[in-house]
Amino acid sequence: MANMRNCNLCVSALSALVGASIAVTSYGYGIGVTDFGPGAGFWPFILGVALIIVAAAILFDTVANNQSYSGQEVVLRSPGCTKAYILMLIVIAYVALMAVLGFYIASFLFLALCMRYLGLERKLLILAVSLIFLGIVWILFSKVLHISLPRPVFMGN
Amino acid sequence: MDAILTALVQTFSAGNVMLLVLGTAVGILIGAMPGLSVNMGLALLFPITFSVGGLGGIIMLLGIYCGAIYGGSITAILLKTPGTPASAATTLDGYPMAIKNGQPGRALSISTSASTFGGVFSVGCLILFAPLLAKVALQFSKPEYFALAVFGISMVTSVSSGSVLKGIIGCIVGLWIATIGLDAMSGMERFTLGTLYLSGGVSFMPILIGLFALTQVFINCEENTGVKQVKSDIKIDSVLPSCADVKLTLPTLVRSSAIGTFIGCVPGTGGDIGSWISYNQAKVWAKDASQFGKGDPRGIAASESGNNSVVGGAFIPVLTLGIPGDGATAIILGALMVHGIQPGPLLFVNDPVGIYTIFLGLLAANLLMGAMGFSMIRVFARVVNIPRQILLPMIVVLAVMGTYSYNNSMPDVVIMLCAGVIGFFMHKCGMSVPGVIIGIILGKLAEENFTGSLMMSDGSAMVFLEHPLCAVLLVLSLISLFSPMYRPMLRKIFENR
Amino acid sequence: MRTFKTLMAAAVVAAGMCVATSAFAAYPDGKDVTVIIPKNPGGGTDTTARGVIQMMQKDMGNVHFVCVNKPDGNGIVGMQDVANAKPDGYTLGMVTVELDIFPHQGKTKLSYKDFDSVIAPIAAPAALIVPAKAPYNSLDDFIAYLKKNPGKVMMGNSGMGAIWHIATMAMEKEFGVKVKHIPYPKGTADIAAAMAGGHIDGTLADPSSFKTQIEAGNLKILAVMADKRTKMFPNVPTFKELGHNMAIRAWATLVAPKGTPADVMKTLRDSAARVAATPEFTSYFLKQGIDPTDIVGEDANKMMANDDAMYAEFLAALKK
Repeated sequence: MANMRNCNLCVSALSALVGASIAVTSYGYGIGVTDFGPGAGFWPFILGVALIIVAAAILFDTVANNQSYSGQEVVLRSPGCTKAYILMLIVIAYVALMAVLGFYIASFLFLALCMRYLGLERKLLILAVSLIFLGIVWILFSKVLHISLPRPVFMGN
Repeated sequence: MDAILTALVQTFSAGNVMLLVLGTAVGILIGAMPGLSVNMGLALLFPITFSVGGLGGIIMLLGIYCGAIYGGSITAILLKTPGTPASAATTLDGYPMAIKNGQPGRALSISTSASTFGGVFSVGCLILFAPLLAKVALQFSKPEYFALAVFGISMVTSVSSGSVLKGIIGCIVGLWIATIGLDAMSGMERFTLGTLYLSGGVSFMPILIGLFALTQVFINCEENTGVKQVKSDIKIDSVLPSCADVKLTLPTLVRSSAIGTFIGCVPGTGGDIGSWISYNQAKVWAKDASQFGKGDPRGIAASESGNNSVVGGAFIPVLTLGIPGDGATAIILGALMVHGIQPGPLLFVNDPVGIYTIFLGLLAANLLMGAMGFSMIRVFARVVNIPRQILLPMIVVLAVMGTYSYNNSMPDVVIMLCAGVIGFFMHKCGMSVPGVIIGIILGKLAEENFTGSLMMSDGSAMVFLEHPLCAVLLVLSLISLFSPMYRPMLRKIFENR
Repeated sequence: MRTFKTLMAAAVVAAGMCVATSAFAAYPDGKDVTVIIPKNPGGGTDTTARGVIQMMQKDMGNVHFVCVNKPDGNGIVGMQDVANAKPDGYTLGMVTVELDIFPHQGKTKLSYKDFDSVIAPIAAPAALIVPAKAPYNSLDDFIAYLKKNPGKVMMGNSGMGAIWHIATMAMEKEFGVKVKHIPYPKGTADIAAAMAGGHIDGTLADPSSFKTQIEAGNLKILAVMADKRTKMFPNVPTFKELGHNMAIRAWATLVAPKGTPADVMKTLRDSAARVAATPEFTSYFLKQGIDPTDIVGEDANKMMANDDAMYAEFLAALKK
């Protein structure tokens, strides 16, 4: 179980890191202000520096209010969270699969698997919903609007 | 007088009315579907306006435009997923009212009436004040646009729920994301890691859909594990908003519609900026702002009237100057020109029938949109009771589909996915999302006009103070930025008096 | 005419069915043809493409064009997709003048050589547009003014390194003058707003966004960088007439990937040529303030090659 204090420290550290890398990269683009206006790196440099400053402010605030932040619990490990993480993995797999199997096949598999995972038992309902939903999508996107969706690798263009 | 009558007859011919109904319905559908943008819908149906011929096509386009800006609020309220970027602010109070407070009907009716009010208000301004407002809009040069963007960005402190500092981090990150890609002010490519995709910049839509739709799916999954879904008792006595709600939101409606109309008439700004500034101003002027973000009707009213009033406002530069106010009006402008209506300073003189047709068409489109919205509220509200196991996967598929359709780009879908996962952890850390969205929407506007102003002034920073309008907006921004600090103090002072 | 067309179509289909086993069906055979547009929906290139395609669809009769917008990577991704597609005539695309500019800025290895043109319906020339109240009424007056006020006159463009900026730089080089370049990245509509508001002093850009202001008398065109005078503004001289052979135009071409069979190209080009000759085509563009062109087939290829050579030389000279 994590608490808000650790979260804040994490956020602060990450922000400072990101801010520093943005600032350094921007410096490389040129941050001088000439007659032709500011260099390409001027604005992002300011953003990078601002990130570092705000990160420092968060650090300061967290340390100053150590007690209250330590008391705030951040739930990262619980049955609910685990379910959410697994769902994330399923969605990632869905997107990866879509590049290979095309939109409709991957979506059908995803819908069926996901509904089952979230607790729906009635197989017939799962099948019906998936087919009807994708059917409506197909009519709307393919036939009416002619908006193309990803095709399976083996079907070509 | 003859012109008005001719226009009336022309606009409301049977064929044109049918086209208006069709256009508005299609518009609401496109608006509701995340990823399908207004511009996409207009561009798709633009060629049909030629087969149809005459003003019918134009009227249809007007219907699509109005409908789409309204449609986004439906998914924003029911699924916390803005169907169009202009409805992102509606999620802040719309979703809590619909789901957490179990009042989807009330949320939808407030949003529908606010949208209609905003639209009609802006058409009124268009009819009465177009030349005057156009003059003001023309005063906007780069320093003024910069100041407007800063004003928008300064809202992040009051719009962030939870930690203000973390909200600012999100905003700065959003501003940075807007800088990725080819910088048009210098011709240089920045932060592209050498990839072709990034050289075109990071698309805003995938991030919006990911941070709202996908993150909400993950949050729902976590919060409702092991919890049995309770069927809300949605008894909607009347689809129209209650008298109490009307009284409560009226000042907000007027203020937000005025803001939205003005933002619309400034070329280059759109419904997304209008809705955020209206939302923020509603919060600033509310006596009791504690319920904002938890389901305050004024939040919904502000956002929805703010974005729909941009529609009428955007037509002001189109009709008076022939210059489009945003991408959608650019398409409609093209359609007008092809049909022989030449917008511009001469339009009022040369073609009064044309002008009145547009006025009537816009008015009719807004009223029709409201009517359609109200009639469907009872149906829409039922979405709330769809079993979670079915709804969540469908939302994921819709999100993926919408993101892909936007630019026909798989990398966009990957970005959406990343945004969804990151959004979940942001939520855990108490980092609120609106900041990031504001940063991305306003990043380019802010930077390009900042750089541009300095280019025009040969590098002198005094340019921002030399332009009075700009200076005023910058001062307002400072006030807005620090408002969370001094507002509680001010309230105490006023309470003790 | 209708019956004849139906008979022809029936004959084609019958012939197609006869040789179906050898997959030698007549193009396009009623199938979907994808047209990839490397720009956002609603922009100039997009509405031009959709208009032309709609007219070609009506003309050809047995085809269905599907437009796909792919603005990723400044349009390069979309153009690449067309170049890499199977050259069977079922994938077409739009390419813009940036195809001739980007390779010389190191942004891509693509070039016009990867494509075979069907038709270039628009080729908007850079027009010198200034406020009506400005003290100069001709190109020479303007140049004289510039020489007296080096680096002070603000000229709007649509982005540094983009075509109108290049046009302005070409003008600077040709006449030996210096201006202040002010980019308006969102496009020429913003430049029009800035000029209407009096915030900049002029621009070299395609005149379509400025048409209404010019007709209302708030702006005036001094000259155009084209080979011939434009249909929309027949009283405006070209740079060429005034002694400076400059032609810079923003064109958009409907293309197929290189290697598409000759008979497919012929079908498309013939249809495009027919469409370009109709009054409907001309009025569609003129009304929007765009001067339509009917550069079909090999002529379009030549145009792309010429422009590519010109930009190669110019951008190399700039680097020095």
